[in-house]
Amino acid sequence: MKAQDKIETFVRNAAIDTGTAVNERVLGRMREAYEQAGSRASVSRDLGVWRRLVEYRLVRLGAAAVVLLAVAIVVSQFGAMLAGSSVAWAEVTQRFQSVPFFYASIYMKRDALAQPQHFELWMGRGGRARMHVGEQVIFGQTGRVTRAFDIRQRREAEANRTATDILAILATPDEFSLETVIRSISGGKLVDITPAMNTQAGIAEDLVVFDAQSAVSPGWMRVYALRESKLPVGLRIWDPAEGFMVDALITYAKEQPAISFDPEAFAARLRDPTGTEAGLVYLFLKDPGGRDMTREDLPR
Amino acid sequence: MEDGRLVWRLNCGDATALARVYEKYRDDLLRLAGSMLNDRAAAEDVVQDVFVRFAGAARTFRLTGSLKGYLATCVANAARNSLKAARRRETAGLDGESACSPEAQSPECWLIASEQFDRVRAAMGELPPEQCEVVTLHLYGEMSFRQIAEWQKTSIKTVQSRYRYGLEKLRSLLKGEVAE
Repeated sequence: MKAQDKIETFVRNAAIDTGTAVNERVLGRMREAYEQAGSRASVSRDLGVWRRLVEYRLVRLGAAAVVLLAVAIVVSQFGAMLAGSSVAWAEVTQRFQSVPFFYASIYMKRDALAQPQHFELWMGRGGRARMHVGEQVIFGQTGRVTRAFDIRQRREAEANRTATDILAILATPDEFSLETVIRSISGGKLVDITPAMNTQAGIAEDLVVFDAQSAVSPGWMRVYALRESKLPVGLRIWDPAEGFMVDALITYAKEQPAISFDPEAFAARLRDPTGTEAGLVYLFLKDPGGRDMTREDLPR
Repeated sequence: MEDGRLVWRLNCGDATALARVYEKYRDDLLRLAGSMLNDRAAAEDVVQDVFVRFAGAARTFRLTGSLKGYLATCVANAARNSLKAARRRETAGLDGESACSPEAQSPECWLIASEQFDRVRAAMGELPPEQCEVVTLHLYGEMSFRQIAEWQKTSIKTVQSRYRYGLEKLRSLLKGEVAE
């Protein structure tokens, strides 16, 4: 070891300890400061959701967080809301609970010159989630990654960071409150108000378009929903400042088989040398017709 | 990677992330302040203030680089200010108070120094302030020479020279302590 390395190691290894009582006291002061800041800025906190919609990309959590947040908002709230003003919140909640499963295909790009990144998300009842991002298939349960697999290398892997954050976001349903979003978008001035229906944008009678504009950024969100079923089927988030864009296509189906959310069953098939990469990515999943998404008898 | 998630959790109102940030960076920040100031009480005050101010701003904090680098820079700024204030008060005797030793631990002690850290701290006190800053920010704050150069408003070459001279002096001061 060189002399410089030795002295660096000596300095780095010079340990300290800390007093428990003072640790508790400092942490207490930190919590106090954190809570005080939260209560002082209640309006700012309300703006937080929309800020996150637009700003998360700055901390590299954003794009996916934005998408999933928006998808969750749409699926959990918009569908019922579109049914009309006579719908009560209890009915909204009930309706959401009746949706057994949804799938979202999401494209996003961080700025005008970036290539879009593709995410696939399958959400089932009980907080079960499965994601496909790049070479990974990731399983989650109530906001936590349970297991993640690298399909190309056929082994367990550390979960994609963005996917981990997405699952964490999905586990915080209070963040998906429509009321909060609307209040955020309006700078705290609008409460219990729905995004405006844009009649000019709707070119078909069976499709309704809702727009929401941010009060704190040039960004806006557009939701496409079916008039009859009231279910949202697409959304776009667009920030003209940087060209940040999200496009999501949402589809609904009967619930996927439980095994499709089971990481143990997936792991057991991972090392099967006869399985193709496409077969693994969509293993156990059914297409809308109820068939395996990647049937083994397909010509290769 | 984890820092991004911690900051996001704090942005979302999750106060439990504070404890993780605190535990993750407490020791290095205390060592940084303790080495720069060579005064236990002042170092504790500086680090405590930085943590509390960070907590107060955490709901809207945006992470653009390394969280540790950010906190280390805050500590270094506060340590500089503390030194200036001490000089203004003509209390140049910053070598008077030592860190709490393990034997002398009291409920009021936060930074409990090992013998090795006490020796390092004493040796750091012999360095010119600029060299001490570079060595501590690089070794305890894990800041790059480029980041330190920006902070010291000087060139990278100057920072590298300060680091090299600082280490040489430390090696001479700690001769016998460091295995040859």
